[in-house]
Formats: sequence, C-alpha cells, structure tokens
Amino acid sequence: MAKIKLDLFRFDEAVDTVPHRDLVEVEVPETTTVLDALEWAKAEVDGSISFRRSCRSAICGSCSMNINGITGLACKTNCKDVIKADGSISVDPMPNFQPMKDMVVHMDPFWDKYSRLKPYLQPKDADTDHATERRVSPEDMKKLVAVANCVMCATCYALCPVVSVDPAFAGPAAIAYAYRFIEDVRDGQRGERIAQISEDYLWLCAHCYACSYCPKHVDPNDRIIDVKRAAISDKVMMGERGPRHALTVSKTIKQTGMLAETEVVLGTVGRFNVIAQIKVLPLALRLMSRGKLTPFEMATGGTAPMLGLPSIKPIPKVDEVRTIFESLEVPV
Amino acid sequence: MIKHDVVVIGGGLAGMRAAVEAAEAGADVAIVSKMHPVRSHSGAAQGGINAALGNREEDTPEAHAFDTIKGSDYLGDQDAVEAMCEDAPHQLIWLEHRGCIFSRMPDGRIAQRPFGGAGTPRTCYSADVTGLVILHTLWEQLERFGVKVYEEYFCTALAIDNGIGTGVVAYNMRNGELEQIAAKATIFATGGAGRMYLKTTNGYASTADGMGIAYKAGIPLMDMEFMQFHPTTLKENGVLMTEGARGEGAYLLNAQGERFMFKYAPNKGELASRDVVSRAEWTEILEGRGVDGCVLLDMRHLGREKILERLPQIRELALDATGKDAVNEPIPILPGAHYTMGGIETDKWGATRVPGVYAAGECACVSVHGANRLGGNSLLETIVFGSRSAKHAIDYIKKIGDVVPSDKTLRAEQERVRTLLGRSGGTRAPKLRHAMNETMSANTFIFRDEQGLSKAVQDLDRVRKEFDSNVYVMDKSKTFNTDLVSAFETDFLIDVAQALAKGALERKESRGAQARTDFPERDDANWMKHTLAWRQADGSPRLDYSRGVTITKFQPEVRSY
Amino acid sequence: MSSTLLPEEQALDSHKATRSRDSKRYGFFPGCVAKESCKELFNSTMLLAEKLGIELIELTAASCCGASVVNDVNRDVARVLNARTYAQAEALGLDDVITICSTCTGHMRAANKELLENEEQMDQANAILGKFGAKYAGTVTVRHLLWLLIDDIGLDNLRAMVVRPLNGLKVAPFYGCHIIRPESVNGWESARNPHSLEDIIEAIGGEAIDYAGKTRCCGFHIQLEKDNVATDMVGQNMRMAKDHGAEAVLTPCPLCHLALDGYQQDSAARWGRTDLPTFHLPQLVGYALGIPADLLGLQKHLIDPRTIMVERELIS
Repeated sequence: MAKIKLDLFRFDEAVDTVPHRDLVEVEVPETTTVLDALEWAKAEVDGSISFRRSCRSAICGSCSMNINGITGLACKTNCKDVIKADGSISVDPMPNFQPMKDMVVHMDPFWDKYSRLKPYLQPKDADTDHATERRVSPEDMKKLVAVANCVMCATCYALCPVVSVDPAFAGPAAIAYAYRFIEDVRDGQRGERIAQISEDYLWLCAHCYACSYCPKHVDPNDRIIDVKRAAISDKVMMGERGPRHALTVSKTIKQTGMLAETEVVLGTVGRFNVIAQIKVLPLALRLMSRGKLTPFEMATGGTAPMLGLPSIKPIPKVDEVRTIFESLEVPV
Repeated sequence: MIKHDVVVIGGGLAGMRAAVEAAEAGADVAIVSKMHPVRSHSGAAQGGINAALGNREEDTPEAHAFDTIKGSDYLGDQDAVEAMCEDAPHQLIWLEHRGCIFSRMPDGRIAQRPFGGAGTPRTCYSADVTGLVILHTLWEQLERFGVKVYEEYFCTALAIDNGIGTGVVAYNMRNGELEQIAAKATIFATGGAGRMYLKTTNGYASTADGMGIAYKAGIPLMDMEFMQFHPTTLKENGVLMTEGARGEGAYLLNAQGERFMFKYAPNKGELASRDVVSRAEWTEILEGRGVDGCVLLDMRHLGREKILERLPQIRELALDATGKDAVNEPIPILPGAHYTMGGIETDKWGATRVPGVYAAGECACVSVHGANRLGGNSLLETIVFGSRSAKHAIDYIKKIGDVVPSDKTLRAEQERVRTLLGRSGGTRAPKLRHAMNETMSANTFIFRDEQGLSKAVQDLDRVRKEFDSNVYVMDKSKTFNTDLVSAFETDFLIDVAQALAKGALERKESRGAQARTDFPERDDANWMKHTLAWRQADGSPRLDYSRGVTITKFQPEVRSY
Repeated sequence: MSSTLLPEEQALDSHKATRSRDSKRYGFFPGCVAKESCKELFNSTMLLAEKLGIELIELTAASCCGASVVNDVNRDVARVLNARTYAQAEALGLDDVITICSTCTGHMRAANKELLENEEQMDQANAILGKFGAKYAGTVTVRHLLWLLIDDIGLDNLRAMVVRPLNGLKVAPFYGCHIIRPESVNGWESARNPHSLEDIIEAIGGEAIDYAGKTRCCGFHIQLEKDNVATDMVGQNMRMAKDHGAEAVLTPCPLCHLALDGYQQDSAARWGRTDLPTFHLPQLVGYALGIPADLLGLQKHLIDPRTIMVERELIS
C-alpha cells in the first residue's frame, strides 16, 4: 500500500471567484492509477471532489486532467510513475478550457469544432445504389483506423499551444476528424471539407507535436500534415499563406538545396503584397541593423526569384537535390 | 417545462439509434444523458456485432436465430430472436452506409470473425474497437440531424399519469436543478448494471439507472438473475479482453498448459457459449489448476502482425495493467461480471406494459438472450431494438394527443433530493455500494447455492434499509454534484441487486448463466418461464412467473458445445 | 511519467556510443539558418568544438533537412533528402551526424527512423540515391550537440573545463519542440520533463529557471500565417519565464532563437515587457569555457545579451 498526497485544484463556478487547493492523503495499492486514487479520495475523504470519468479503460475519453503539469487520461496514468519526491501528485483541470467544478471543465468549444466539420458521411452516391455494403478495400479502410481510435478526450486540444493563444484554431482533434472524412473513399465532399478545415485555420498548426501525447496513438499531428498534403495535392486555397509557405520552402530547397530565408518570407506573404511586406519590414530592418541579414541578401532574396535565379548560392551537387525532387514528382 | 414528443434516456448505441430513427422520420426527439453520448459504455465494446451477411461463409438469419436460442439455453423468446436476426443484415448495411468503419475482406466486403456459440463466423468487427466505431457513426448522425441532447442531465424518475408514460424528471448536473421533461413516448436506453459487483468489465456509469427508474415506477424487471460473467477479464482491474481474441484463434490454458476447454466443450472448445467457458475457467481455478487465481489467454501463436492489426486495443490494455505484452506472453484472465441478460420487461417492439414507455439495449429484456447471451448479439440488440422501439414510438405518438404530466413526480423528486442533501450525517453511499458489491460478488457469482443466495437477499435488505433511512451526501454544491448522482446510482443498483438475488434464490434450476450447485440440472418441466420482479413498497421484489417463453421453431434440447 | 509509447513506438537509440565518440571526429550538419541569419551560431559552434577538442566535419554538400515544412507538400522528399545527407556522412567514414538545431534534430531523426524501420522506404530512397551513385547503408546516428555535451563529454568534464562560471545568472531553458517531441522520434530524454539544458546551465555556473513554457512552442513555423499568433506564443512563454525570475534564455534551436529574439518587442503590448536575451547553446557554453565574448557574435542579437552580462559582471 502507498500513501499519496493528492494536491487538488478546487473550484465551484457557482460560488468561487478564485480557486483554492486541497491536499488530500490517500492510501491505495502501489499499482493504482491516478483515477483510482481520486475515487478513493472521493469515497473516503471528501465527497465533493469532482471529476468526469466512466470506463476507466481509456476508451470513453472522460478523464483527461492535468497531472503534474501534463495533460493525460487519469485512468491511464499510474501513480507510481508520476509521484513527486515529496510524495504528492498535483491534479488540475485540463488547460485551454474554462473550469466548472474542480477537474470538470466546460467542453462546448471543443465539441463546437467538430460540429463545424459537418462530421458525418456525405456519400458520393445514393445508398439505394448499393444493395449491400459499399465495397472498400482493406488498404483504404486502414487509412481511417488511426482516427477511428480517437476517443475525443481533448488531451491534444488541451496541450495545443496554438489553441491557447488563438481559440479560433480548429485544434488537432477536429482536424484529425476532418482527415477521417477527407480520406474516406465513400465520401463525396473532399474538396469542400478541405476548404472548410483550411478556413478553420488548418495552417495555423505549428507542428510542435504537443499533441503527440495522444493516449490512443491517433498521432493527430501526422493527420494534420496528411490534410495539408491533401490540400496542396488537391490545390485547395493555394493563395493562402500556409500552402504558399510550404511550396516556397520546397521550391527554394529544390533550387538551392537550402531554405532561402528572404525568398521564403516574400514567397509566403506574396511578392506583390505590399501591405504584408510592410508588416514584416520592421523586423527585417532590425535584423539588418544587427548584421543578421545584409542588404545584399535582402535584395537578392527579393529580385533573384523574379528572374528565375536562385536567391542564395546553391550547395555543391545541388543537381542531386533536383533529381530527388523530380523523382518524387514534387509539384514545385 | 421541457417538452418533446419522444425522449430517449441514455446516449449510447441503443439510445442514439432510437433518436436517429425518430429524427429521420421527422419526430421531435431529444436525448437525455448523464454523459456526453460518446462517453457511453457502448464504446467499450470490443469484439463485434453479429449479422447473417454470409460474407465469409454461407449463413442465414435462421441459423443465427438457432445459435442465439441455443445460446439462451432456450429461455429466449423465439419470435423476438427471429425478428432480431432477420433485421440484423439490414441494420449492418445501414450502419455501413452511414460511414461506419468496419474491417474489410480483401474483396472490400465487411469482414466477419468467429465468436462464441456461433455455428458460422458472423461477427462483423472493426479491429477490437467495434463499439467505439459504431458509437461514432451514430453520434455523427446525431450531428447530421441536429438532435437535441440534454447533456449531463441525470434522469431520476419516470412520470406516469393515468396509466400512461408522460415523460421523466431529470437532474441538471450543471446547475443542480430538477426539471420535468414532458414526452409522449419515453425510451429507456441506459445500459447495464455491472456495478452491482466488485469487479466488472463495466465502467462507473453502468449503474442500472433505467432499470431502477422503471422498477420504481411500477414496471417489472424480467430475468434479473441471469448475469453474464465474461470469461476473459483482467484480474488487476476487471477490464474486458474481447472474445474476439478467441475468435482469432487464441487459446485458454490452465497451469498445466492444457487447452482445458475441450474437456467441457469437446466441439467448440474456447468458442463455446460464455456461460460454459466461465464455468469451465472457474472450475479449473477452484480445483487448483489456475495460475494466481487466473487462467491464461494465449495469443502468441497468432503472430505480432495479426495481433497489432486485429487486437491492438486489448494488447495495450493488458500491457498497461499487467506489464505483459500479449505478443510475447500469455495474459492471466478470469471471469468477471459483464452483462445483464435481464432488464426492463418489454415485448419484441421494445414496448413495456405501460403505454408510452419503451426500453432498448442492455437495460431491456425482450427477451432475446434468455439465460445467456452470445457475444456479438448485444451490439446487435442495441441497434435493432433502438430502431424498433423508435418505430413503434413514432406510430404511438401519432395516436395520442397532447401529454401533460402532473407535477407529482417532480415534487416527489424534489423531496427526495432535499432529503438526500439535507442530512448532515449518516452513512455515505460509497460505503453502502461496497457492502452491496461484497455480498453480490461473494454470493451471486458463477456458482450459487441456497445458503449464499439467502445471505445475499438478507444483506441487500439491510443495505436497502440503511440507504433509505440513513444515506447522506457530503457535497452540497449545485454544480456538478457527483456525490449526489452517485447516491442516485447506488439506490438503483440496490433495487436491481435485490431483484437479481431473489430471482436467483427462487429459480431452483441451473440454466445458462445461472449455475446452482444445489440444482445443477436444467428443469424445463418447471422452469420454461421468465421471472418477473415487481418492486414492493419496502424495496424488496415480488416475483411473478406468469410470462412463459415463446417458442416458434426450436424445441428445447440438451445444450452442449 | 509512464510513457504511452508501445514497444514498437520507441525511438532509435540516441545514447549509444558511436565510432565518432571514440575518434572525436563527427559529421556536422549546421542546417540552413545557422548559415544564413544565425551565422553567430555556426561560428560559436566551431569555436566550442575546438575548445572541447572535437572535430566537426561539416557535410558541405548536405541539403536542408526539410524544415518540417516539406512534409506538407510530399511525404517522401524529406526522407530521401536526409538519406542523401547520411550517405554523404557514410562516404566520409562517419557514423554520427551532429546538429545544432532542434528542428533539424527532430526531422532528421524521424527520417532516419523511417529508413531504418521500413525496408520499402529505404529501398525507395536508395533507388533515387542510386541515380547519382550514392547509397545509405543505415549506419548513421543523428544527435544534437546538446546530447554530445552530456553523453560524450560528460557534465563532470564540462564542469571541470569551466573558466568563467556564470555567477548564478538565472537562465531559462527553451528546448524547442523538435528536440524533444515526439518521444517516439527523439527519446533522448523525457519530453514531458526534460532537464538536459538545466544540467548544462548548472554545470557552467548558472541557475536554471523552471517554468511551464520551457517545452512549449515558439510559433516560428506559423509566424507568417496569421497576425499576432507567433508573437503571442513567444509572449506567453517569455512572460512565464520572466515571472519565474529568468534573466536570460538558452535555446538549442536557431529558429526558436529568431522567434524569441525577434518577437519580444512586439509581444510587449499584450504580455508586458520581458526583454529576455536569448543565447544559442554554444555561445553560453563557449563563454563559460573561455571563448572571448566578442567572438561569440552576441552583438548580432536583437535583444543584446551583453547588457545582462555586464550587469552580472560576466563581461566588462
């Protein structure tokens, strides 16, 4: 048996303006999960400790919490792996959500991101065209398996740093769910779905892999990149920053072997987009003032591409790089 | 007052299927659920859903019906079973057409795997997360039809006025208010009651809510004594390891390394019906051939690739709980409380004896599973009876006029909540829950006898009285008061446990999941009848055997695997 | 913290001894930014290598690692570009490629993992490399200089080499996402609670500041995507660092450096002034090991680190 001190966030939105913390000592078997420890505390010490939970086997997605500063499913977190040197485990509600009562948060913004996707199959043809199931190859179906395992626990959304500064961002879970339909061969709205998720700021994903802590191996970050590739291959909203950035970076690598910074900035914002260029100018000038960027570099970065020339000196054997791009038919 | 034509209590597979059926028909329908629908325990179902699609081998609904009836140890109502098996292929195609992600055969058709008690492989699956994918598909359809969900509303009581159902009273968990929800038709789809036991595959939410509500409102429960103990659950935490593992070829081994199932089921071995397998395992363990109170589920010979493709979830569940990787080692398992064959009494349309009140899914007893359910038939039951009960309800609501519930139910619930919150001392619900769990696990498990069952009845009676006079709730908050909700849930569980224990005590035979060491034989002469339980004022059940078993094609035979 | 990684999701071993560790001759991939707007990083790295007595052999014909962005266009090109780089290292007899950028680390290691664990993908890469006579045999390990300092040099040796300790300068580590996440690619240390930078800071006489933002994203890759988002991400993290007492920031990633160095001026409006100078890893370690401060390129930073260094009497 182990004695553990649960350092709990306590808050009741109906009566509190600020939260407080309670330290509750529990006595549980060594192999216990954080969820079990919370249940013990609730049953034996303080019945008002509140948290969502149901299946305790990582399939219902209810019990995402912030445990020692990291969000995860309480039912999948073993106490012995997280107990601190002083014998305590701190438990807080998930970040990026408004707390309601202790570890229970308002989840509406998260569900809303799903609703915006129109998250239901919109088949290419009529159901009545198929007396039995629509045939789908195992390979095509397997593409959907990773996202099929998503339990909508919101761990990824809670960990996403972009959501924390811009709640308009769809977030990893919704984008992964968009992928589920974009790659479903039975669905007839691929283009519209890519456009919708692009508008919900698909390209704001910073690929920081904070969402790689997904407890169900959905790998939302990789799904997001899959959607970005689909957008580029289907040529959806190509005038936007995101696709322009990816294509310009790829182009400079193909042409010079390196990422050419100035050309990438201009290609992303638009060579003729004066307003945007004015916005980035102050930083560019500051960089120049310190010698991080020379006026020559800036000038060639701007003009060389217009003449079809590399904006920086290519690496040795750059033709090998071009061979790679051409062999893989990269569209730059 | 909130008002809808149809109100569905519970947002799992049965509840959502019913709501989608109603919404698509244009009815004014809403779901009342104590959790967000995707949190429902339906999502924990792993192995698959049965239908005679005949994709893998030739199959017919009749063969499916026979297997189900034999599996039920002949207590299933055969007309209802036939209806379910006839409807199954259509429902599977319906799900697939709505986008459900099923595993596929090389030619693109829905794949089917063998399962316990099935004469031919008919269990459609999605790796080992079948419940989850169907849950998602139905939730997607809720989004499509804009179905209103009263989320985190805990239903506490059914309103019956002038002998017809008039809706429910529900506790809004977010603000602590009781609300009357008027409805012409109420469909209960609240799932099972595994939390009667200490160890169960069921999540915390499987607390017999709908069963308890209907029972308290005067609707009988049926066949409660038949509790399924799933053969393969993890000792550490009771979590389920799908029958699909055995369907894919896994073995059950005792301490001597023998595939002991062939001693008990010479033909089907590991794929006998669940009651046979659980009894066999428990016998091996009791007779000293177990390993630390378990037997072993061995998947190693399936190979890493197949395990990762078809059984990845259970592989991870076992790894998390036991530290053992099923790819390399056998996993210790033992039987655990899993599914209630019993539930709210309904007919084959999901209608109860009270007009306007329906039940579908695990909380209902039609009965399609009789004394034992086949694996893969529960997911099927949710879809079939979710849709059938909604169809019946849609017709019903056209025939009746406006429904105005009196406020008697609301006032009674308000009084009940006041009492629960008003006490400043007494016994807390978790303590009473534990007392119930202990006696249920000790006395109503796989092998039962007069002595144990009588003790259970007495113990539960004490628990019931203690609850009624003395239970108190520590959390007095109006915001998300899970202490109060847990007390409601414990209340329902006690009632249902009492019906189970009494039913088991009075049924002097062994049939399906009921195994009496003092009455080891099946007694068709005296016991081809269902057990109805009616709640009396003191909470104890009055048993009634007026409902016989409907037999159409298959006369009861000796049942062996 | 228990990892949610399954056995098959473990990263390639990044602690194992390489031939380079014994020979002290390492392959070196500086990445694009260290050769363009962060030349001070490249220069201070070479000076540090000299101090440590190791030889960093630049792979001058190596291409960009893909910068994570090319994956948005094509799923194979980054892998093959990096296979070419590894083939070049092998051709020079080297089995270790050292990076000085978190982004390079994460993406090169991801490419290497795919190549080494997936025969089809290795065959595809070599089929293309074969067109210009190159081949990757799968013998390269990719590591960041940070890991080399701890695994190959060792904290005790590093401590012993310090001639100018930092006098308790309060330094906030900023890891940069791609050197720690995903754990299935990097795995050198826990991604949830890494402490390699803190260990280095302490070894060279500084005081490491602990704050939640140390493992968060700086927003560099999306700085042009939508106004203010990257500025906010920088501001949020630097605010946390400042509130925990930081006087400076240490990062192993030049992209993070550009973001942290460049955006604090703009983030002040919403997050308050933070003005935290950001050191590249080789600059701060190099300083402590005795490299003259004026050779470290500190004057190139937008937020001048020399201000705090003068204040703390680290330079005059």
